[in-house]
Amino acid sequence: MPRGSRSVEFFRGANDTDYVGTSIGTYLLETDSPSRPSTLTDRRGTKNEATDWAGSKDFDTLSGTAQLADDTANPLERFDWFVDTFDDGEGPERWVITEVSQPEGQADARKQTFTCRKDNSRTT
Amino acid sequence: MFIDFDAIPQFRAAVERVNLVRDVAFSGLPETIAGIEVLPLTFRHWQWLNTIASPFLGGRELEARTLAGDIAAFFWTIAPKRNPGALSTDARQLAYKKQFLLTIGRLKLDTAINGVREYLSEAFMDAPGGRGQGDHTSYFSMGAAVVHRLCSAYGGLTPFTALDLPLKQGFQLLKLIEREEMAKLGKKPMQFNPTDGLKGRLAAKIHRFPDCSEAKIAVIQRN
Repeated sequence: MPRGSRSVEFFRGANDTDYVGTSIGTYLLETDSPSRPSTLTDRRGTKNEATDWAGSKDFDTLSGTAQLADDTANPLERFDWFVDTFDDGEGPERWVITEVSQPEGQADARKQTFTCRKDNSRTT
Repeated sequence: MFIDFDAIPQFRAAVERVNLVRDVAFSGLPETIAGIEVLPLTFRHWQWLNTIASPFLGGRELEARTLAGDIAAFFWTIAPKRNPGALSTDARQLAYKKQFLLTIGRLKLDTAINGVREYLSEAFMDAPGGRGQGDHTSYFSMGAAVVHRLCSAYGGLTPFTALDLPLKQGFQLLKLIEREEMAKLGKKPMQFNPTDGLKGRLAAKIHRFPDCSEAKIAVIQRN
């Protein structure tokens, strides 16, 4: 991952056919890497001994702070989304906001904290 | 898209300026406004300026009718040899006040106003963010809230000594307290840098004009 500030374009709304949303502005993200958990299922024998286990991907999440780049950017809302690549192995991913705070400001900057969940059905 | 803002000279210069102001805040050096030596703004000064509804802190509008008096009151609050406990008949204090205010009176109005604004902008540059909304019901002063937080974190401070901390020191310490408290919850706080606005405007410009000079210097990776 290159060192620098991650800058993304957020979109709002989308229809079911082409999934094109409306751009709502540019945002600077302060985030760590996405959390990529898994769910494990244990298989045991008749004496309850461990025999095998299976893992499956759980929902990936991402949380952090988004800075509204300038006055033209709208405050983020639930279900706003962006596409970006966090890990080369995963490629581009679509992240949808599931929780977002009210904007807070200091001088000429406004920020919001957010949590996103990866949309497993789409990448663009 | 990744943007290396440090590669943009105007951003780098702004960051260096902020770092300098933050470091100097702990050096004990005096400050100046338009060449006149003054004290660093403390929580006590801030409380006092709020009490007199100084227009420089948003207490009321700046008006031509009261401007000279407001400038004098502001400067006198942060005058280096002002003794707030002196009696109104204290001859030495009265002589100092007269001489100090004569110096202030020689300043051009716009020089004084711009100087005060710059001084305040630096003093509040690490202040916490706010939502600018809500019911505005207040049960204690901002100074009391800040002092309570600082005293809770630093055993050696009392409300009296905390009031005499320069805002530039106190706000940096508050950021560290918040960072530590949030880390205990496994979270990161939302904090602000004075350069955030510039950073945002540069990012918006780079998105809008991908071939602009800043983009050529600073974009590390596009999607």
